[in-house]
This record gives sequence, C-alpha cells and structure tokens, in this order.
Amino acid sequence: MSSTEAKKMVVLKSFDGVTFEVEESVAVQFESIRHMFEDNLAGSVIPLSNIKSEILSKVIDYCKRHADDTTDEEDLKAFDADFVKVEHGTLFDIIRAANYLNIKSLLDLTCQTVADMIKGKTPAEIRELFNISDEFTPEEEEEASIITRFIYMDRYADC
Amino acid sequence: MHALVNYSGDDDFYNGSPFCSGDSGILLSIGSHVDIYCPARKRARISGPLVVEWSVYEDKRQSIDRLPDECLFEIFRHLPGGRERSASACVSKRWLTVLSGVRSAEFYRSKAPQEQPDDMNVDLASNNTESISADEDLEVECNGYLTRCVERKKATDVRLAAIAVCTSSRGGLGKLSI
Repeated sequence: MSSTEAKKMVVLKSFDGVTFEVEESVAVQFESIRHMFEDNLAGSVIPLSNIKSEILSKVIDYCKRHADDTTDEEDLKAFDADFVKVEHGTLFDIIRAANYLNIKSLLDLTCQTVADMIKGKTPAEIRELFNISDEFTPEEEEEASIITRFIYMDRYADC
Repeated sequence: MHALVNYSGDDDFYNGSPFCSGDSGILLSIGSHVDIYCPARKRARISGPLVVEWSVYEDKRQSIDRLPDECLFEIFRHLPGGRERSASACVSKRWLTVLSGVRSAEFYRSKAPQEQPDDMNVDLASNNTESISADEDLEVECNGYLTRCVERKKATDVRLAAIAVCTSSRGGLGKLSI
C-alpha cells in the first residue's frame, strides 16, 4: 500500500468557484481532462466552468465509490440505484457533466435511467414527464399520429 | 510558399487556447465563463450544436430540452425496443431528428431476445397492408424486405425520418420508393 503522501491530488474548480481536491485515482475517470493533470499540470487548478458545485460533488462522489476496489458489487449496485434517485433537473445536469467529462459508466447509468422512464409511455406522457413543449405543426402532428399507429401495430404484434 | 502562409493563418482561430493539443479531446476557452468541449470520438454532426447549448446553461428549466443533442443521442441508445423508439420519435421534431440519426447497430441492448418478435412483426405488417395504405404509405413484404412507397409531395423530412425510426426496429428498410 502506498502512503497517503504519495497520492497525487488534483484540484477541480466548479462553475460557481468552489474547489474540490480529489485523488488522482478518482480524477483519472474524467477522461476528457485526464491529459491536463497527466501532462505535468498536477497541482494547478483545473477549471470546469460549466459544472455547478452541487453536480460536481455528486460526480466526484460517484467516481470515488467506483475507484474504491474494496466496495463489493452488491453495495455498488445499491449505491448506483440510490445515486439516480434525484429530481429530473439534477439528473439531466449529471448527464451533461458525465458527457462533458467523458465518464462512460456514469453516462451509461444516467442515460439508462432516463431510457427506463420513457419505457412504456405514450408520446404525450413523455412530453408531460419531461416538460417538453410540442414543437410539431398541425401537419407534422398528423405525421406523428401515423407513427403512433405503427406503435399500436407493434403492440398487437407482441400479443 | 503561399499555401504555407495560409496554413499558419489558421492558428489565429485558436488564439489563446493552451489546451487544443490534447489527444482525447479539444477544450477551448472562450471568454471568461464559456468552455466548449468537443470530444474527438464523437461525430462532427452531433457535437456541432454544443456551441449554442452551453450558453443556455443558466436556464433554470427542469426540461430535458436543455440537454445537447449529443446527450439525447446517448439516452436514445439505451432505449430497449422499437416501441419505445417509435414513441420517443413522436415526442417532438428534435427527438425525431436525433433518433433518426441513431443507427440500429448503435443501440445498446442486444438484439437477440427481440429477434423472434421482430420477424413476426414483418409478417404481421404485410398482413396489415390494407390499414396502412389508408395512410397513403404502402408497406408490403417483398422478397423478405420491408418496402415502403411514399408519394413525392408527401415525402417530407418528418415522414422519412419517421419511416427510418419505425423500420429500423424491424430489421431495416429494404426498399423505398418515392
């Protein structure tokens, strides 16, 4: 085991100016900024100017858990399940951050959560769930209804 | 020599950016608070709209519309089946456009458990030809391919994208006549 002093630390700064000190073993999961602290930039502050501190702390928490080899798989699954139990706005912010930082496992987890929400819902229900304004013109709405008919067809086919 | 001068001129575009030599992506600092990250692995047409999207970060709406196309694309890749994809395609024009850009090979779930019902869908679809021709679309099974005919004036972007999304869940379109 390496001593605590030997661990390299990376300092990340959020959109609202809060700094987070994380171990390099955690920060290496941030694929997109990895080169910045690997290219002798360790010690300097890495600005993440489109991630809020609230979201960044969640993301770091996730990466810490996943960097820890001692956590057993069941615990990790339970942690993941709890991790995505947040309100929609927060979940979308995490997706955005995971995409920006290129953390594949987190992006998969959060996108799968949203995909599961969509499952079994009608287009109108999805619009309501995610607060999406209907951009279709009346003509396009007709097109959309044609597609909807195909969905029902699929439904009958499954029966 | 002239070409060489022109080439060096390109550097002006990236002025002041110390990060553009990164191999996993390009991070450009523009202004004091807007960063644009373009991952190298993504296709250009997906990452394009990011430039606009980041600037609306302060928008407090809880809507999924705030997400850049790239993130929507990732979400759609996780949709389990054709039914979900078709339902999502009806949500908005933007969802339809993004969904039509996802190739069937790019969906995460393995196709294996769905292979059986998919084949049945094609058979059933050909039996249901009458009900579909009422919608001016004609769907017939022709030598095992799914075929569609669309009138020229009806072949709008929306309709073609819709056809693309719907048919991809049934093994793809074999023939399209306009």
